[in-house]
Amino acid sequence: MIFTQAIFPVFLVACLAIYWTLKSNQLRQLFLLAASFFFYGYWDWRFLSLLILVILVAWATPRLSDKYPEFKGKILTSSIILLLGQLAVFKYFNFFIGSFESLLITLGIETSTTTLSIILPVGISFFTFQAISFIVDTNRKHIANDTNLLAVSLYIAFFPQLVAGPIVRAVDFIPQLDKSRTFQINLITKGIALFVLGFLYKAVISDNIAPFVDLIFLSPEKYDSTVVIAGTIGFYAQIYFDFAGYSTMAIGIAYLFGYTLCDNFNYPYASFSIVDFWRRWHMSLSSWLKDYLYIAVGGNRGGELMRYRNLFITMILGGLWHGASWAFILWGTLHGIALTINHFWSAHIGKKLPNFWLTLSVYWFLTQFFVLLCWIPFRSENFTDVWVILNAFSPFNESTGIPTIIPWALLLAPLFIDTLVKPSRRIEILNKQNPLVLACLSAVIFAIALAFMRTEVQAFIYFQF
Amino acid sequence: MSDKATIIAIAASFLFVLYLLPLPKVSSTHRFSFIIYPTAFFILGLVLVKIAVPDQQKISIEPRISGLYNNIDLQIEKFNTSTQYKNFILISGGSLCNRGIDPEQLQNALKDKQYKSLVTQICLPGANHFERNNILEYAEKTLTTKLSRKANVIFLREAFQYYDNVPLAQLKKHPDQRTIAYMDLYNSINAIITGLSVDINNEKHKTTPSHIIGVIRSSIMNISHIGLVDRFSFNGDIYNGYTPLFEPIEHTPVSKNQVQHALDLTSNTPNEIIKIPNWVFKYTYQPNNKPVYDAVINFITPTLHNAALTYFYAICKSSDVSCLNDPTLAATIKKLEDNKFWYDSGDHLLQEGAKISTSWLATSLISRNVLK
Repeated sequence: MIFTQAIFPVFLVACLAIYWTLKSNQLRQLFLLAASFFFYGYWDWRFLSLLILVILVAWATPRLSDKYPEFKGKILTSSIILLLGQLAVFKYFNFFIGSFESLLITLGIETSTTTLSIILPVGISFFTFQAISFIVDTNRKHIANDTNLLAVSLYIAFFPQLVAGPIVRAVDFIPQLDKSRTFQINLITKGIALFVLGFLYKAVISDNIAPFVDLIFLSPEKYDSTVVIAGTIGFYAQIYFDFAGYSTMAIGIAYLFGYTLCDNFNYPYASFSIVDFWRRWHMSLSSWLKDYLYIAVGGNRGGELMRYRNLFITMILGGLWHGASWAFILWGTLHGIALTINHFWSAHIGKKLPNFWLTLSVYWFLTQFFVLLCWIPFRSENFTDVWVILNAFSPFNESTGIPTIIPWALLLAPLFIDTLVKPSRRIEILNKQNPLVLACLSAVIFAIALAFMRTEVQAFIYFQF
Repeated sequence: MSDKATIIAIAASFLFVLYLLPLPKVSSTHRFSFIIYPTAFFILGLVLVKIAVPDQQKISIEPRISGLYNNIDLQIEKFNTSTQYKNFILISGGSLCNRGIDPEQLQNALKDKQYKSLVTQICLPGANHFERNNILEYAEKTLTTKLSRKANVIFLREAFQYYDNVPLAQLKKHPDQRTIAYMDLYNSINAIITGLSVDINNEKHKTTPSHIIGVIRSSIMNISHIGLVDRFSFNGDIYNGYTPLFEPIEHTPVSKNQVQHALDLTSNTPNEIIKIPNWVFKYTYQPNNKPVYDAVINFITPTLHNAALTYFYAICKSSDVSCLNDPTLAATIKKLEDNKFWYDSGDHLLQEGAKISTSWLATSLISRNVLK
């Protein structure tokens, strides 16, 4: 089930009506878990067993560690290997087999390997990471080892964030389950407002840019360089509105049930450096990678060079997390290099330079241009297309296509509006406004926005991850 | 495409700015008003879109559908500006008519016999009566309001047993652009009532809960204007309801026996009189209540489809049903016995067959003495 599908509002309203009618906190949690399983099973009920398996592994690990303290390390390692193992099978098996076969062929060894026809379960990367978060957080004593099965299940399967995040940390979510939920109009209104805002991002903006972008990335060689550049800029906007749209809707829906999820985006296209970009883009993944991977591989320990190495490894694995392809590894590698250079620059050169509008403009342009270029391998079908698209950015390329892109460039207007309006202003509106007026405004905007969405439902880009 | 992009861009920007505007403060919120007022504002939003985009039933991303509406407008304008026309012939039907009747040829054939007529065909493949009704209603409304002088309006209704007996024929369980476009509130309610109440002998075509869910889904999308801009066609194409077929599909030869069997049906029709189901009258056209037409005549596009022929002849036995069922129909079927006229196994005609079929329609229509 996708948030922008016609069936979803029916599901959501029914869930809210039942949820808030139930009096006991535990009953509400049970109902929410059932609704979350239905939500996931609606896509393919067979993979519910996988979700349940992940939940059981996460729940059992700290309990077994308590019971058999002498094997604590082995239990922890085995659980994490098991979780990463199922992720590897579903997500990376064919990639590794295919890459191995290509390597053998390159070395002149004839081979015949078998790839399997494996369906990638929606959201597998997200709920696996949440399960790991729970196991590590219990190991670090941030969460009680005897957290009950219902709490663990709801933490991992809570449907607003189940399939595309934000990647919620156990330490942030599980304590919320202890408190009794009360129907707070301010919170509900905020939820409605965020849902509608996310809907505008996704259904009105991202989905309407998508057909144009898809067409260009399908066969970029057919188009004039100006059109190809417009398509790349289109994807730059599309992926932001798509992913931020999903996250915003997820956070909004969680508010409707009385829960708070962490922010996932903070105007990343307003950032002045790559370091800043990663503090604002997919923030829940960045912080997860930092806490559970970067620190695990050494973090800041061992001096500047080791720090850069660890950062680099984290970003490559972060790229691989997005998908089983060399394009994502390249994307992660490029960002890893840029982050390393950025940290070096900040530590040794940048702090000696004055910060005023000209340098800030240059920083902003360089950062965003780099991010834009990195989206090319992320979105392209193959490396030949990457080269074709990069070639379009060459100053020596002749083009005549400006008139054809003007209406599509207009679609970027919301991106500028969104980025230019300061976050503080929006929060101020959401927090201080009369809830009734905000709910009414959201309702009327939602009704109008429906006319501008596309009839065919477009899946969220991050569902494939 | 660029028009759509511009509209979407402006709308998206407008909605964003609107969202960020500071709002006036009002008195405190109560739970009851918290449900009532946003619901009212949601409906207000739907009404605003309804007002902003008139004639929404004309909207469909499929150019054929919007093209049919544009054709109705064009034909009525032609009738108004040229005083030579006396008859306005409206033909409604499904794929048999869409493939088998050429409106231009029909118009010329009638003109040759001094019946100066404008033929407007609104036949559409796979269109059940609810979809046809959507277009027909527009045609009727336009004929009533926009004809500037008196016309002799003849309505030719293709009677086909499948569509007359299966209310939700061809309904897509998963909404497509066409279904969303015609499943407005009126059609949806009627489709559900009819689908559930009509007794269908053929289990295959029985209305199931999934059909009803399909209607409700399409209806919700229609009423809430989901994808309205996406469905909107800006190009203003004209479609005259005729799509000739040129090549037969493979392995479907028409046999002599098949033709003979069809001919037998035309001469030895059963004694039983079959009534056109009430719902067809009620929801598709109501000649008594809508004095739009000077004559309403049922016809069947020449076909070898046995069940269709049996049904057609059976309804024509009823004294209150006017039909083009004279012996020329059987003679025309005889003319079409060659395999080269058929697209498939005797259901749909190729262009060569359509020429014969249209020629028959002109002759048969003239013989009814309804034209001026």
